Amino acid sequence: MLNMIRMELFRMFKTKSLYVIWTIFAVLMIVTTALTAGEMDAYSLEDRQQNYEYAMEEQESGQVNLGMDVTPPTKPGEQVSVFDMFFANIKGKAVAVFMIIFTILYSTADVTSGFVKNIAGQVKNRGLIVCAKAVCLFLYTVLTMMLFFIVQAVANKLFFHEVILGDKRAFALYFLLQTILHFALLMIVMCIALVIRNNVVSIVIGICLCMNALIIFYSFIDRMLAKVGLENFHMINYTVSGKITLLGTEITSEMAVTSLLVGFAFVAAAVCLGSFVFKKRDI
Amino acid sequence: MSEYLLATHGLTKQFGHHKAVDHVDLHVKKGSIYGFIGRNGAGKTTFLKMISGLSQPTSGEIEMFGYKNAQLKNVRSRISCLIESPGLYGNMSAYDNLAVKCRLFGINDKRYIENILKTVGLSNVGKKKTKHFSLGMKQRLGIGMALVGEPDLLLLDEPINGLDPQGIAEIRDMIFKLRDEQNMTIIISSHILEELSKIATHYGIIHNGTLVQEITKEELMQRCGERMEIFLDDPKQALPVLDQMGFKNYQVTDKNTIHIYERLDESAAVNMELAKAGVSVRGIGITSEELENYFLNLTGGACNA
Repeated sequence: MLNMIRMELFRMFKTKSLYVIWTIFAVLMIVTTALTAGEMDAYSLEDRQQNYEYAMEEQESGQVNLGMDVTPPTKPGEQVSVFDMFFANIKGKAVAVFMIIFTILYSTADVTSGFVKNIAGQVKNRGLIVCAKAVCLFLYTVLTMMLFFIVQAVANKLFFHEVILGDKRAFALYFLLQTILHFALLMIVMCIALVIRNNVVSIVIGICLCMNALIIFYSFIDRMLAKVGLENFHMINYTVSGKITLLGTEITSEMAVTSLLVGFAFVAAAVCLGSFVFKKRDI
Repeated sequence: MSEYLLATHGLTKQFGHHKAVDHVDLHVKKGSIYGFIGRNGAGKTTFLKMISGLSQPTSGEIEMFGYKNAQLKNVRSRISCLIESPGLYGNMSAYDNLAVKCRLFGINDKRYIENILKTVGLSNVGKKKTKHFSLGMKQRLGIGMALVGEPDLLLLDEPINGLDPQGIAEIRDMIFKLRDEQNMTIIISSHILEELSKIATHYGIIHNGTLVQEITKEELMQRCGERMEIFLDDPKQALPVLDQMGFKNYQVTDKNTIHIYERLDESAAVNMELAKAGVSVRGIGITSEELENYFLNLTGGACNA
């Protein structure tokens, strides 16, 4: 298993798309910050209040909108912090989209190139290759979140002229929970890519997850459950993409625990299913 | 432990209603170069995939190195393969492709990778990405990939497809070298009979998923070499006559034909003795057969006896 992880790590860091996607991502984060800074300068206090209310609306109401947007939850009169921009980009799934694209390219590269034929027959348990990929993708998630943090801090310095972190404790907790939730999202996407064996379709599904396209389906489930007497059940609260969107800046212990549980449950399910399919399927 | 390094018993792979491999009993001795002959779609690749662990058999049993069934996982690392096209990361160099696989085997020695590159004749490719390699270079690197971990059994599926004569000769030399220097057992599938006949010590002929014949090189050469061919209505009647004349190396090949592989200058005497015994001989002559014809007779609708 350790050798498999070493092999996958070596491959991941040799993958050109890793650096290309990180570069595009960093540039986009800087551009987003620049645009946000430009807009913030042009806004009146009333506009800022409206923006703040909009940004806080989803986490307070528990409602999720279809699509993607980046709106920092900065109170009128306050300076935009790194945490605000970090929160806005995470909630807007801007980070997740890039991570999903890389995950699909990376996790299926051995199959699409045929390299898997060199190794799959020689290992005792082929399913462990998927576990090794999961370990690498966890490292990738952590590194990407750290890169995002650094780029965001630099962008804040460039366009807001000073680096204010925000509430450090809340930021640290948010960073940790979002790292786990993003990792869970990547595991789901990796599982989908391994099962359906089509990169284009996998990327489309991944992006649809980011755009909250499944809220229509979740609403349908909620209504069905309401009909059988299970009122006030919101499926979105128990999904990874829902948790990524709904996790607010002020995290209660209950929110933290449910986020962790949802994240771990999806990681376990996706890795188990991916491993099983990879082990049983002919190459 | 069995005398064979690899033996399959009733190995079958079914896709829907189609049996790609149908109850194949194949036997490979240690140190042999086993030529696996069959037309396109005969079931060669499917069979090799099952042996290499890339595909699960529908039924039947594989026995390797004395292990079978669930115990096979203990010897999986001793089998390596190049199935269909070489599986390479196009954006990586030959060195890096090998380095990826080396890590799986816990090998971190730079010289080990360089030695493999030297063995397969790619030591001077530098950092050139494999997507820019010629087909021959890719094939050689594919074999190099299969050599990582020093396997005892090497499976090569159509390794000379698309290669020029020089490339084919290089692969041939490499295969001899691996067998002689590393005592490797090698199974090579191909439909290029002429090339296979230059390297294989044993042959297995597969047709429509069924193993039609297993034969040694000596036997094949004998069958394809010069022989006395007798056509008659009932070969059974002729056998006592041949025995009486002291013939030992002969074979009844179908219901009307006997092949004799010795004393080829005695066809007139044979004809006379058979006539004396009242055996009706329709024809007798000296003939030889091309390897290709032999294969076609076995697989092309002719009698498979």
